[in-house]
Amino acid sequence: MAPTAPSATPAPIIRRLPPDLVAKIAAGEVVERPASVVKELVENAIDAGASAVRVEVQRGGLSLIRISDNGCGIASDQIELALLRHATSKLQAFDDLFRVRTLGFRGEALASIAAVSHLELVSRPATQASGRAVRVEGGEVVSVAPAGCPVGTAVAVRHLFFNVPARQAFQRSPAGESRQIVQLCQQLALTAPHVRLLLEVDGRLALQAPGNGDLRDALAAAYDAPVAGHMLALPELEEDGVRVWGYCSGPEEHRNTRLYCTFSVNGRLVRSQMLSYAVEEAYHALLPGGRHPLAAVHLTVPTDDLDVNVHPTKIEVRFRRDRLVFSVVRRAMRQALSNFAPVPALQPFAIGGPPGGGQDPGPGNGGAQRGSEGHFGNPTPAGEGEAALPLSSPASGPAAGGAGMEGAWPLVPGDGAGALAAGLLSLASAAAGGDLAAGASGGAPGQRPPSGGLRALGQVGLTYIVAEDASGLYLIDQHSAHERVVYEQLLRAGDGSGTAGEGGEGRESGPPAGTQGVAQLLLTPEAVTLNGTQAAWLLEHADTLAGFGFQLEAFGGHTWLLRAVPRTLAAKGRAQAIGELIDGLIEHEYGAGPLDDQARWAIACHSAVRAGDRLAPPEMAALISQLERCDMRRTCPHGRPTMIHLSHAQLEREFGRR
Amino acid sequence: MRMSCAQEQLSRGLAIVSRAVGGRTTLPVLNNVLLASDGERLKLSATNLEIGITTWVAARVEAEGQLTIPARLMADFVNSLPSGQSVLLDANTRTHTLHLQCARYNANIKGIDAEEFPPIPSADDRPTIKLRAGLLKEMIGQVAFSAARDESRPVLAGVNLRLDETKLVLSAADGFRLAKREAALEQGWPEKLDIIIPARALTEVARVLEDGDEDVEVTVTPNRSQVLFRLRAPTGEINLVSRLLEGQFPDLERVIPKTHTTRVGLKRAEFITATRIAALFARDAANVVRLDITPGGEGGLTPGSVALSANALEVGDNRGEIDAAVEGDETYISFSSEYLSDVLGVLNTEEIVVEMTGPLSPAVVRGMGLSEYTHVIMPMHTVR
Repeated sequence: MAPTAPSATPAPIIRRLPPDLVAKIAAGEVVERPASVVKELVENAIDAGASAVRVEVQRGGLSLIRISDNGCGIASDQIELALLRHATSKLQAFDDLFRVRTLGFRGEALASIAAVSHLELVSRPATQASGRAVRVEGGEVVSVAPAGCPVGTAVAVRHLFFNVPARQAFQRSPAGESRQIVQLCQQLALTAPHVRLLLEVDGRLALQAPGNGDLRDALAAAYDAPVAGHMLALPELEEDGVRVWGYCSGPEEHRNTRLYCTFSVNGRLVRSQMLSYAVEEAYHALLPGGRHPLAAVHLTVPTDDLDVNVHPTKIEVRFRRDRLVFSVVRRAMRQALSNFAPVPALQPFAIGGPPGGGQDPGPGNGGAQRGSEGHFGNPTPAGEGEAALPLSSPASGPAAGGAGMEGAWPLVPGDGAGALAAGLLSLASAAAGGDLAAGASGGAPGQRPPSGGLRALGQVGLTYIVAEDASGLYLIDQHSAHERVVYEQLLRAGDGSGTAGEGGEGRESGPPAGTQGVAQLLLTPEAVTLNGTQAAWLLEHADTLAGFGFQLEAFGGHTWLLRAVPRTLAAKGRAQAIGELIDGLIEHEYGAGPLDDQARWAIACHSAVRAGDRLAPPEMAALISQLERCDMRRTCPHGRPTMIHLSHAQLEREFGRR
Repeated sequence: MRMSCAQEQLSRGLAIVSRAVGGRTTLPVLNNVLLASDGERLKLSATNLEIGITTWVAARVEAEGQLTIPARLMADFVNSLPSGQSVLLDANTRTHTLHLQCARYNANIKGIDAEEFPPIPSADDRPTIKLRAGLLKEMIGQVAFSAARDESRPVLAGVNLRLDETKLVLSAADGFRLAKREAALEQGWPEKLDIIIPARALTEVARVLEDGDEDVEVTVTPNRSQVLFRLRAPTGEINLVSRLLEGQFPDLERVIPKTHTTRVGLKRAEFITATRIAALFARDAANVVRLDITPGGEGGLTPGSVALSANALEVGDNRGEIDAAVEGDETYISFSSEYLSDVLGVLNTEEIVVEMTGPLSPAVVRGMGLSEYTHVIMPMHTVR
């Protein structure tokens, strides 16, 4: 027997891929699904300077996607060039990549789409009497012919992925793809409010953005008019070339998905975890768990600060100074929220029209304007008392156009009521002690006292405080409200010790120095026996708790000696809450923020009065006055409302008085 | 039941028992006061199941019987009647209606059968200890406020009462402060007694006690579940029954510091004023009031001083200085302003003594010359 060869398998042969396969692979990067086709083509249209774009899709875009615009068009002699890969009018040299102002620039989209579909391109520039039509099937030009057509470009994409069965298999149902396209077009409409965007899905109108440049109108088109009407304008902030503007929802409006947050950077629709996180941070402690706000955030950054060439679809971007962008976005939202956080109205009546919602100025300066209108209460018509902002916003700092005023005062019809409210205010603050009312009462005429005039009337079911002010009746959840008060006290105390401004940004009035946690020592150390999980957690995080005033000493096994507790807990005599508190922290009952912040909530929660605690009138007055001094007084740290409002107008309607 | 009594006495008796009327609606009879003939007296009782109060009013009894009547309405009605008149009470036990007549005012009040009223134990002939009413009132006032206000550790919501052959000791602690008051007894207790009385009940006892020399008799039921205070005042007899708290009261003796490194004597009035002012600022700063203690100089020629200060970041700050006799080291300590003003409020000596051992150790507050009273406050401190 002759010895066998060491290996029977021949070495694989390396071959160059045929061009059509290369094209299909490349197409796969850009054209993932019908929605990507829509995105690329609509962005092309916007780049072409179109003021109106019409999108038609059938069977989720798998049968037909047609996009027509009134943009600059493509000259007839260049139309075939436009279909070649890496052919573009938008970029000339490598350095241009870092100065990209157009949405597209790679010259890939049209070629990629053409490679995987039957595509028809018809275009006529305004300078030409007639246009030209090109038909491409799977990347092969089938025909080129002159065509009569309006100025602009129309692209019809049929039989998408006809030659890529694998891709076809991964598409969702037509309905699912349609939904994606609708969502995308909503976001594009918010990104480009100056473009009249029309979307027809299977012959039905799905979106009609007016294209008048007003972002609020675009929001109304994308979502619905009442929602858009209630959205809050972000104060227009600019720092180091990073400018932000847009709208976000108040804490009462939320969705169970992040898809309602649209970010546009230099006019480009982007997805960014960093930006999403900035938003979540801003709403931190305002929304119930798992809920997300609505927002349309526009950012302008210097072009050389932005890298859009991260991915062929260009939906992911990188910022050179991402921390700066993060903080500007978060601050803008935080300010918008602290300026305007309406009290949820008692059903069945929805809140009336938003203050100043109708005559909102252009998106550029909408922020400051809107914030101040509701806030300083001067020129707003009396009829809007219903949606008034009865509470102050003492610590809003540079908010509301930087006017630095003391904050809101109820928009009351007529001065008599205002005077009455002022009187009640002094009563309430006298009872509660220590308010700033006195200073303001001697102010200039027309200048309202800085604090609200809520007056406690009594307690319902040992759980809710009934209060009134000039704008109507309020029901206040005593636990939620107190939780909010203690939480902010702890936050303020923490700020002072210079914890690098985390969680305290946007609060320029923060104290210069102060206490972190105040520990009240226990008469006798208390043995706290924890279970294994609790003990393991404590070993790891004892320092965090110590920062708030818990003094715990390991005593062997799972037993710890508690020697001191945070002052707020001592005041309630709840030194024993430690086990429950740790459990809550382990279970993430107190949000998903930094541990410091979770601990702050936890302590606030355990320190607060509970439902069922009887409150004497001075206690109620004190609680209300403390609540009025909070930045985010409308919700407890868990995001539940602290109060609901029943306006005089609602009362009158309910009783049939008008 | 048919009897008559003087309007003033009936009105006063109703006011006393009304303190125990329960506000709960689950058991309607607890909103009522029990009226019963008891020899030549009218017995009035009310209870909220935590405490029960019984008092007696002299009456001319024509027919015996008993009935319960809504306490609030009855008290308000009798209170409004002209004084100096006699009130006729005539109960129809079949319809449970009480007819009242005074001068030319007549009323019928619907009540509830007395059978539904929970029984309130009486002292009978069990052994009792006799105390002076004024003393007991003072002792309760000095101790009960230190009991815990929440129920997370039930025994701490009570006041520990200990009796032996020579003395009576009341003590209470809420985990952050303790108060202990002793009193020597002429006539002791045959056996050692160690019970825990809810602070709320004791506060009610102090309220009905008068600052006199009358005797209060204290009795514990044989199963040690209830305590009974019997006050024989010239205006009438009052019985107050409270349930007792079960459990072991913590040993507070070992918490009381036996030594100190700094001892300060201050005028109580000045101390109260300085505390009150500091508290104005402290209430926005975690209630922290800081005491800076400076010994006097030149062998006692210049007096020492205590500076009380509070600093609220968003409100402002203050500092007040008072003269003090300081023995020992210079030091500082921070207290809750509430704890400080609470104890200063119950001491009636002209001078106050504070003993401490540095900023992180318990401080003892006493009245100068009042060795029977000890108050310990745990300090606060700021963590970084």
